[in-house]
Amino acid sequence: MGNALFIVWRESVDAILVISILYAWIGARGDGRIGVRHLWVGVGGGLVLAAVLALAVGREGAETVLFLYGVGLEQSGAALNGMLAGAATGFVLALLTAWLIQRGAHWLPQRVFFRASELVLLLLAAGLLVAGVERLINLEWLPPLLEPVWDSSALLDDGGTLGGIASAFAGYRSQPSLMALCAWGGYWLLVAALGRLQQCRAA
Amino acid sequence: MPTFEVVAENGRFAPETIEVPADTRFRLRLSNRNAGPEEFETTRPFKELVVGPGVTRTTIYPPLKAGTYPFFGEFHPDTAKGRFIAR
Repeated sequence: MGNALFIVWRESVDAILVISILYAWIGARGDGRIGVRHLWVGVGGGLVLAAVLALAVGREGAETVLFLYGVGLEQSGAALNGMLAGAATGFVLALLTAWLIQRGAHWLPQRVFFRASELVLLLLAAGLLVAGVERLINLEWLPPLLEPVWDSSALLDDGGTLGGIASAFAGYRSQPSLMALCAWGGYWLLVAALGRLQQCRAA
Repeated sequence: MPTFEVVAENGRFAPETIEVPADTRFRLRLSNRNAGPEEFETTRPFKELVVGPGVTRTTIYPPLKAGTYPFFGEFHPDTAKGRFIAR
């Protein structure tokens, strides 16, 4: 149940964050209705893309959903109900999160709102990058170099709830390979460099 | 990369004990002959592999230090149990 809840919540929050940020940004620029219309066209395209991506990349999640249905055939249905309840709870949580983001956008100064959402998106991207690099290592397209570099599973286990959140949101690994670590470090260096460049331009 | 085969049937895994080389990446191939789906899972290292009825899928494990690593079937947690022994 926890798994289904988490997957649905995370995927929905991702989408909601991107849409809210673009929406707020277009609103702040005051370019009017054209921009907003383009945004919704983009959202439509994004949804199609998301469906394709969900099938191609997120096969695990998609299959879990497909199998919710198969579970009922064989079992008492308790597991099925648990998973459906989890998925439903995840979606409701995502809606609540969206509401919070919207409220937050009104309460917080715009600068703080953009900073916070930017940080969340950057963290998510780091998580996706690490997951992608690990897939390439598993396909033997990339060498792991050294693995594991350390074992912090006693401190924060990425199979646990908290560790799982850190793993999905920021690419935390309790037993990282050197390759994944390099990708993660390289990514943040690039982000820092681009951030500096932007600051220099702004100044 | 060494590959190890596991069959899920009647809510159990066969074989239940799998000896794997320590400190070596390996592939696990799971064939599901149950009437319903099965999910092969280890908590350490954390891995999940959902397999529909009649389907075969593989996943890859990172190098394991010598030791015993239990696995279980999430859809048959009472009967589907086993372990990797890394030597």
